[in-house]
Amino acid sequence: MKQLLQLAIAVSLAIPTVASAGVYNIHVGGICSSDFGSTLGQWSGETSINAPIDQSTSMVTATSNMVTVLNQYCTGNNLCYVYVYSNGGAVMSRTLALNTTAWNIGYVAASASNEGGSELGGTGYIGEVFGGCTLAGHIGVSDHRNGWNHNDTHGIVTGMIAGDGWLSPYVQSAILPGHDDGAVSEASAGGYAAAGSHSSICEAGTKYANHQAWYSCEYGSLNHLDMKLKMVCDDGGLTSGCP
Amino acid sequence: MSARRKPVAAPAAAWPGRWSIAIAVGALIVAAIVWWHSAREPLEAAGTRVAHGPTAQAAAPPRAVLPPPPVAPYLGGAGITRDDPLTAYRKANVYPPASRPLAKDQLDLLQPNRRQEAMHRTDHDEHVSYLFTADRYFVIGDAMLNATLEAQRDGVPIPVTVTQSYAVVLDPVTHQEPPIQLSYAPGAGQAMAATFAPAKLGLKRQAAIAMYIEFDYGTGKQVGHFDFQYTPATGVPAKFSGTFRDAIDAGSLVIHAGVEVTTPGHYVIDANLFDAADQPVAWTRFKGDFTAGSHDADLMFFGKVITDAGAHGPFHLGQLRGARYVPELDPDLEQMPPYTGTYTTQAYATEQFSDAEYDSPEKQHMIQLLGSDASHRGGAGGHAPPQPDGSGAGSDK
Repeated sequence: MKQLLQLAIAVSLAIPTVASAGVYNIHVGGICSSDFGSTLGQWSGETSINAPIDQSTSMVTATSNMVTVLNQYCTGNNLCYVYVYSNGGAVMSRTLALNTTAWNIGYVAASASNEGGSELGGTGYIGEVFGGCTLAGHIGVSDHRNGWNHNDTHGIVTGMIAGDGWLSPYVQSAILPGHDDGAVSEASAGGYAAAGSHSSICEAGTKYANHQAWYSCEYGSLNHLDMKLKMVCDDGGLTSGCP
Repeated sequence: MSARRKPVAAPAAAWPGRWSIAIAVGALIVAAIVWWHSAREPLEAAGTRVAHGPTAQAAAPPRAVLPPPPVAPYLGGAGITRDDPLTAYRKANVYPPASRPLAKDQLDLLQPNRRQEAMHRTDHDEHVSYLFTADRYFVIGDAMLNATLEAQRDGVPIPVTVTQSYAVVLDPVTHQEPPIQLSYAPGAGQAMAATFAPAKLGLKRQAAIAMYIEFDYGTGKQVGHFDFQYTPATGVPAKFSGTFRDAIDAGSLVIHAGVEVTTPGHYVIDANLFDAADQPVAWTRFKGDFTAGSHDADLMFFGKVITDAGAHGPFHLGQLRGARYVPELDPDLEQMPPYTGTYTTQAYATEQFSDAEYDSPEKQHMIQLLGSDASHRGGAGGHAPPQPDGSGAGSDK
């Protein structure tokens, strides 16, 4: 017993404490973007990063950029929180699925995620809604859902929020199944494991592992553009300019 | 004469006095305290003993070394999740990140080559809808892609005329993508169909190929498009050899799947596990580096996943598939031909597997990091206007 006590004390004292770990809030933008933009969430004593992710040409390039960012900020005793918007959600999911590095990521917070791809990918509205870059034409539901194992998240939780507002030119909401924000369906934004119709991201249904709804079952008045900062706002990073 | 009686002295030796009783009770309390501490778990007792000085208290708080109570794993479900980040992380890591339960409705894992397109309306006519899709997403070697186009007016199938149809091999670098003309012919019902043999293109390595179509549905025209992945025979990086063996390792089931590697590199290999009643039990993902030659991919199915399902053997393997991940190239995943057979393990009993929760240095590191950061509240936070019924703001459509 005495030896056990001594051993336990020695072990507990030998475990290095995580002293003054840097906390980084990584912001990842959407399709056709090269970064998140000028407005980032701010948390006291922490560092916000506008991640330089090229989402104009291919998911391969974007994944490679994402790896570089995570390697830079999310290793050692650093801790990261990753805020993804739109197709940035797909980039992050793909990055986790294909790589083995044990990045220190507290969670992924996804706003209007295109992780499950968009039904607009095969239509004439793709450029109008998402922009005119090459990658915008290759983010359909099969491209993203068949492309990698979305259930392999490194054990990292992905919190998700979704909008259901109107987005010009409006007709795309008749193409997207169920509720949508004018660019992605709630099947995608809610982390459901199959494309299909949902009227809320709280509905019962099979979701990718560790994907879950946060804060609200849907934001009925917010469209895809409105949703960009919503997760950052909800998680306390912005108090003004929030939808 | 009265005689005063001498007071009789108390029989000290025969009965304890007040001080003796107090001392005895005190000793009993001390003994009880000693017994209490020695009878408890060593780490907890150790915490008590080192907690005399401020330095020791700071270095090893007694409660910090206690294992936290177990948590129930996330297994899907409806509604909003409101866990704080540390609790959420622990719930997400009851099982290892890449060896988790498999349910019969996880079709993304059970049918990994099933495409996801669905019928939807045309761009300019809400009464006309169409579906342009194919029978698979991954095409390997000499296999064919069977593409179909279906159209409906108010739910009733209608004939269409294909006005343009072609495929292009995507080149993300040069964008030199000459169209490859395709022909569609009437298929089942009113559908139009085409069979495409990408092996004829003479490609050397993995390629993403886009299929485009333009069709006339009588009152207007519509374009359609989808992509698929093609792996030519010369670009297959490795194959499953069909050799297997299984064992229980540290309380988990491990199936060693033979792999013949042509191109060395980093591989990701997925597979599903089914029990003796053919019910899905678990999925797993192997990630590792292979040199050229013969290797085993160690497919680990975590013990607690099996015990929580109450599953028993003989187990069998399904949907064994994989790819070489080469980040320097685009596409960066070179597909292996899926293993079309199966493999059956020994008749293991449920009790032969461990029901212990997953643990690792990485997990403990994350728990430590999350425990020291209170700035982010994750699902437990939220600055959204409160929704009394948790249903959110509702739809404005």
